[in-house]
Amino acid sequence: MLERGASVRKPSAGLLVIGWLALGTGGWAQELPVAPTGELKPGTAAAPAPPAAPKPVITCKDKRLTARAKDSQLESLLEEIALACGVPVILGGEVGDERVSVEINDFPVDEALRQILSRYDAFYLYEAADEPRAGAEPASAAPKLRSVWVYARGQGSGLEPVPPEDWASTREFEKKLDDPDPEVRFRALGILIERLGNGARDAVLQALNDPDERVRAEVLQAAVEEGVELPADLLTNLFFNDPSAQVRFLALEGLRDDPKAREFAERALKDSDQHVQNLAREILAALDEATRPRPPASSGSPAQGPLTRPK
Amino acid sequence: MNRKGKAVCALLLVQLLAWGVFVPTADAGGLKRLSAQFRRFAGDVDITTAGPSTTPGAGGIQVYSKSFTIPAPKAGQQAVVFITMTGTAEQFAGTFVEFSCTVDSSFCNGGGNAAGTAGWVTLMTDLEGSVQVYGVQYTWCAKVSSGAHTATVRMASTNGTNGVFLHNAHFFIDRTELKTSTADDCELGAP
Repeated sequence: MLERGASVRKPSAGLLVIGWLALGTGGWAQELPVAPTGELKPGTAAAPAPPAAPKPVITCKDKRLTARAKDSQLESLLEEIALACGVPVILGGEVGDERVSVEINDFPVDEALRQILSRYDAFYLYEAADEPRAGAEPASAAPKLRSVWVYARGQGSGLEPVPPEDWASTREFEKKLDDPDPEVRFRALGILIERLGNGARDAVLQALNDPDERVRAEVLQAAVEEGVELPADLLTNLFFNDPSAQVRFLALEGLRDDPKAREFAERALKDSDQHVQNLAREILAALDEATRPRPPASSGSPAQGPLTRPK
Repeated sequence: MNRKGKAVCALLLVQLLAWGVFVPTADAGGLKRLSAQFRRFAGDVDITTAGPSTTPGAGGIQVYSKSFTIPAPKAGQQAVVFITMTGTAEQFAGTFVEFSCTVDSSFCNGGGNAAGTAGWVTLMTDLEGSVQVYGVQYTWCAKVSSGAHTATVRMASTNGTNGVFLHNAHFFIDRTELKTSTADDCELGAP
């Protein structure tokens, strides 16, 4: 079932794969098309559910749909269409219990679905068309419908597609920490840090030994930003020894409140990287500022000359 | 659901995992504040008579600097930083106080200035009086790569002779990621 921590996160609006879970309290009959071959026409609205509706007849060939159903539950009908045509249809929120009748004869599945779902908010994902073959008409390469998301009227507003990292399970990301691609590793750990905070500390400590400097830098940045507690001796070691300037920068930033911050900053003035030097100057200036006696409030400007402050 | 149906549904779910889902848009393009600092709040002021320069990082005096790091943006995204300065500025009659922002060795925006020097902004009107004190505020955007950077804000006097001043100033640095484009990720806008 689609629960927190499983493979699919349920967004706030509710999201269900057809056939896995039924939601919704609707009972209205949707007006649906009755179609002769090759076209769709409005049909008659179905009456409330009869005792035993005949099983829908659904076939799909070359992405053209033939469907005959009378007083079928919308969820069941869409499930049959999804299975026959290989197009996932996902119902969000309170959608699916409505009863519908439909007669479609050899019609493109995407156009048929648009008609069936005309009273709903829906997202249609089309996969980009292949490049047309040499000599073929450009129109011969049509985009393919890959999936449909369905919401009740008005519930689709304010939604947008998101990549897997925004909703996949924590366990899935933990599996990626050993991925051979450095970017996959640091992206996965970044998400774990965001989700688990200090709970990702062990994984962070391990990643700071990663042979790829991008992984060390990105992970250290995420850890510092999310407040993961890192031991001072680890930061000191990174500051003194890491070949990555970005890692040394972040380690020095993390040592800003260390009792030895001035010592570290003075050493960093000799770092080979300009930004590490700049950060060292900022830290020293802040330390100096913190210990500097405050001047009287009125002593800010010179007494005369072009720099005399307007009064 | 029969066995075949369950198998197909499982296949469809695998496909969904690869494609993502739809969720509310509230977090899209969110800002992350990297730094909030203030300067010259002890009755002291930044003062200069030095004129501006069209060379980034030169001219006038440096009134603020801050080093920061930017994580690697996701594919198709451009990291953009916003450097905001707000404070109290003063200028003598006959000159204008100008401000510039640089990230590393480049102006945040090196474009022209109808009232002053390219790469600099003029924030106060010359009322030809001896006392001109204004609250000033400006935000620059700049595209940045991942890694460490240093932002600086400089202040200069247009005529290079009369004094200009800044005090009671706050500086903020924010970052975000915007879709890489020729339009929205710190690019020229339309009228």
